[in-house]
Amino acid sequence: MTTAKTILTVDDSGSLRQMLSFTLKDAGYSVIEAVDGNDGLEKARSQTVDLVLTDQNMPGMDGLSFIRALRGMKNYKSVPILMLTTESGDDMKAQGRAAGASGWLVKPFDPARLTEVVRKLIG
Amino acid sequence: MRTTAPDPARPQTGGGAHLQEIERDLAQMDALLEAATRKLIESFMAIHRDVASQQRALAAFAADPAGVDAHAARLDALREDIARHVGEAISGLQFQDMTSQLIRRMGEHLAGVRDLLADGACAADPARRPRAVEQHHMDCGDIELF
Repeated sequence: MTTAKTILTVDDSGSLRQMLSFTLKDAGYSVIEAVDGNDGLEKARSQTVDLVLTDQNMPGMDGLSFIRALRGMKNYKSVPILMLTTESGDDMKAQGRAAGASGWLVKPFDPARLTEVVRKLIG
Repeated sequence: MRTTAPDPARPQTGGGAHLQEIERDLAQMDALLEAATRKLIESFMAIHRDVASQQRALAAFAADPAGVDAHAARLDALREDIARHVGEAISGLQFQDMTSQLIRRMGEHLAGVRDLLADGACAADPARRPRAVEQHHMDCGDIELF
């Protein structure tokens, strides 16, 4: 039996986290939810995560700061991190890329396309 | 509700600028809610239609077990259709995330107006205000892998 890959979703919107969990669990992944960047770092430290999906605009620690902090952790140098945000400007994407994001998804997300991208990255 | 977007050619200052931003956010929220509602209604109607078709296909299967391949193909196609419509409903439901961001922004601007009315003091640092939402519709966004 193979163990399901684990995805950490970080978003301050409860409904968005719920929809991400529904989509990703339906596709066979295990999902951990975090409500902001600080919570995300705590969850990432305590559990093994195969892919991270994070929002940008969150109270407390925003998505870019979260990615920078995560990339500073030994276990997260090469884990795919996707930004899922309402932001679509080239400048923000460039900042995301520089921070260490592996990709940029603009909300609203399409469940089928999201699953396709996740499969491409972690199988 | 049909709100009118503020005229960008007439920039305001002070309290007027806050109110202009609130008007803009309200117009955007109205557009997002309308698009999301339409998308959700269409998705739910399509799911309802497909579930009814699925029931008929199952009844036909029960009445004619010999045609198993044709019935199985029909049921597979309906299952895929339902999954697609559920996906569209999930996209539509994401209006809450965007409108919530707009409501937070409007709250910050209203606080700015309140401060100006109270003592003419400057409102909170604009850089700390939630950023504007770019979406004016509920079409799914782009994906870019770096």
